[in-house]
Amino acid sequence: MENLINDLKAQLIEELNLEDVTVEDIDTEAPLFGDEGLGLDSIDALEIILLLEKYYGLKIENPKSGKDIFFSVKTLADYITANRK
Amino acid sequence: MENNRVVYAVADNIISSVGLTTESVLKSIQNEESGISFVSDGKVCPQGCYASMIDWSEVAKLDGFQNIEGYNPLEKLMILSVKEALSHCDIDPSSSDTIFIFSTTKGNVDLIEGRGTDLPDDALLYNMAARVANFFDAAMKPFVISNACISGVLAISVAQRLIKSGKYCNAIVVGGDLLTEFIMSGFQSFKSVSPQPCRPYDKSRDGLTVGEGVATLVLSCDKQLVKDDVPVMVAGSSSSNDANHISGPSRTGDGLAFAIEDALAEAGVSAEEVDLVDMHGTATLYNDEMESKALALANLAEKPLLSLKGYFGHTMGASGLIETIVCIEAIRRQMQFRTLGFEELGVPVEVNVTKETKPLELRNVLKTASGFGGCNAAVLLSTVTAGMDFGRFAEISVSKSCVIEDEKVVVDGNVLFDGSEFAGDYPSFIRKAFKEISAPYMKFAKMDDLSKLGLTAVEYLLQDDRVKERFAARDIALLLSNKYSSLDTDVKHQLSLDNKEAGQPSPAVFVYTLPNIVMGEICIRHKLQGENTFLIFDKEDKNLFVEWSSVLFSLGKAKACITGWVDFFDGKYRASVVLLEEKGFDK
Repeated sequence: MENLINDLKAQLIEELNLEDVTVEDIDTEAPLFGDEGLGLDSIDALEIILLLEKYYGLKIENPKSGKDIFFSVKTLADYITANRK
Repeated sequence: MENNRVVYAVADNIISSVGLTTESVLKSIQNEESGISFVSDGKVCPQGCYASMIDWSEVAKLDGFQNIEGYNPLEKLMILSVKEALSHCDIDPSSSDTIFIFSTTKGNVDLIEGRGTDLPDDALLYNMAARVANFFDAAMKPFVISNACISGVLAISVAQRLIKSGKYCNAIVVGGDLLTEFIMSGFQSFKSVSPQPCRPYDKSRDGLTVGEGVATLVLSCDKQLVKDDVPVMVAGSSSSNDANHISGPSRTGDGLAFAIEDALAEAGVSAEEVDLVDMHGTATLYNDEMESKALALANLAEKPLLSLKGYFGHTMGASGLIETIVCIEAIRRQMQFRTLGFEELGVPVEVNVTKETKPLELRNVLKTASGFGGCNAAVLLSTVTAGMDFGRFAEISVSKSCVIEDEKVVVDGNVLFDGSEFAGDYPSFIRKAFKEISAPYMKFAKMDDLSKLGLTAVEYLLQDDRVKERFAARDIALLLSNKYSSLDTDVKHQLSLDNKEAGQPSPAVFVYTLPNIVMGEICIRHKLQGENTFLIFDKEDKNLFVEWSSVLFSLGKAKACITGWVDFFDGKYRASVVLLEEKGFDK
């Protein structure tokens, strides 16, 4: 799980162009979207869908259903663990 | 030069899936027939999807089509469209009193396929426009408005102002975009394409239907050219920015409401006097929601509300033009049309979406559009008023300038940042130049190179300047121009199509395949909500910016204007922007 969380953080930094952010800076439990934390937006959400497909072979068709899954790095990691084949 | 002219709609043409002339389009609309169908074009939509596509076998039968040789498909349709429109009015396209204004988002974008950065000349929007204008021996250089989905409405607004201010007597406004793999894949990456024909404002709406089309609207100050018993005039127009997000519509609708209020004010028409509103109505969840809120803010929620997307789909750079022409025809016929696809209201504000096609007394009709980059535009068509007088050209003073080129940032002639050490390394140079004067800004690293360039230039321009304190957000306009449009990023999106192994098209790239996104980024950063126009031209023309700004000031559309040149392609760049104010304006 620890490895997955660190991988995910590195992938988010790379794929979402999070400049000057390091893996250590990202709080595993903090909200990814909104004004706090990383302040991600709707385009980032679409990019995370691509990221999940690219690295984990997981498909989310409806971005709205991703809301709970995309809440934090922790919820993303839980989703990947539960659904990865 | 008379600079208080009335702007009449004198002739038009529409080439679309709904019909190949304005007449046939209106016949289909009155019969409530949609141009949307299920297509399984191997390239545009390999899995099959609903789209609104022109029937080329029918186009080939059009008068004169066979004689137009040596032009790209979009140019051919534009030439046909202009020819047909001009056949209805006695205007000389080669006169120095006639200006061609084009509206397109992607022009001949199919030509960049498989080319990388080695682009054919025709891929440049200005060259495409010049080819079409030259077909008609145009005396004046054409203007190209490329401002996302508001391009069509904005092109009419630009034409109206150029006529009203006495600069030209006639404007031939030509808009067009064709449905390509480039555009379809981009909208799909945004997951905004509906699996069904689009359903504007409906409870079950789940996205837009992509379409294609070409249209021409001829505007003139010469009343003798008008064939209608009751002439239709362009009485007011405006544009604005949400300053909220580059792809997501505003959550309040305030930007669109500003544009509406401003267009009505210029026309001297109250909200009460508006008889019909035709909005963008794309049928995406958030666009339609935003529009309903804007209508409430502008006190127009009870007015008959129309979306024509159920007929044409979303024809991008042509949509605003096609739909305005249909509005003009609605006035001529004194009819409202049904909003195809709408059944049960599904937006937060109780709006009055048209459910049937029937006679309706129409004197003032409002047309709006909203698009990526947070831009909005509105025009007011009227049979009862020509709108406010133009007055005189406002005098301009340049309050500050900023030039970025050759790894240097120069403000008012002084080198404020010298990045000579970054020669040939634009990404490092621009990053350092921005960081030099700005606190960390998370969005910067996500932007494309054109947006980084424009944002950095304006960051220097507005540094230490109290312009944002002195003027309201909606009184500061943005008017930018370049030669390469968004082609640098277009090439990046195209690479993901040319090499499918490399992964799927990225929405974070696609959103920047519109040149006006740089203005969206600037507006978000500095909370500016005034007029927005992105013009594609062949070279930097400082006089043009001053002239256009003067028109904005004269009409009371803005009190300050950030204007200039912002161009980036394949590592080569130049930004040269100025902050203009009306001379003598109380500081």
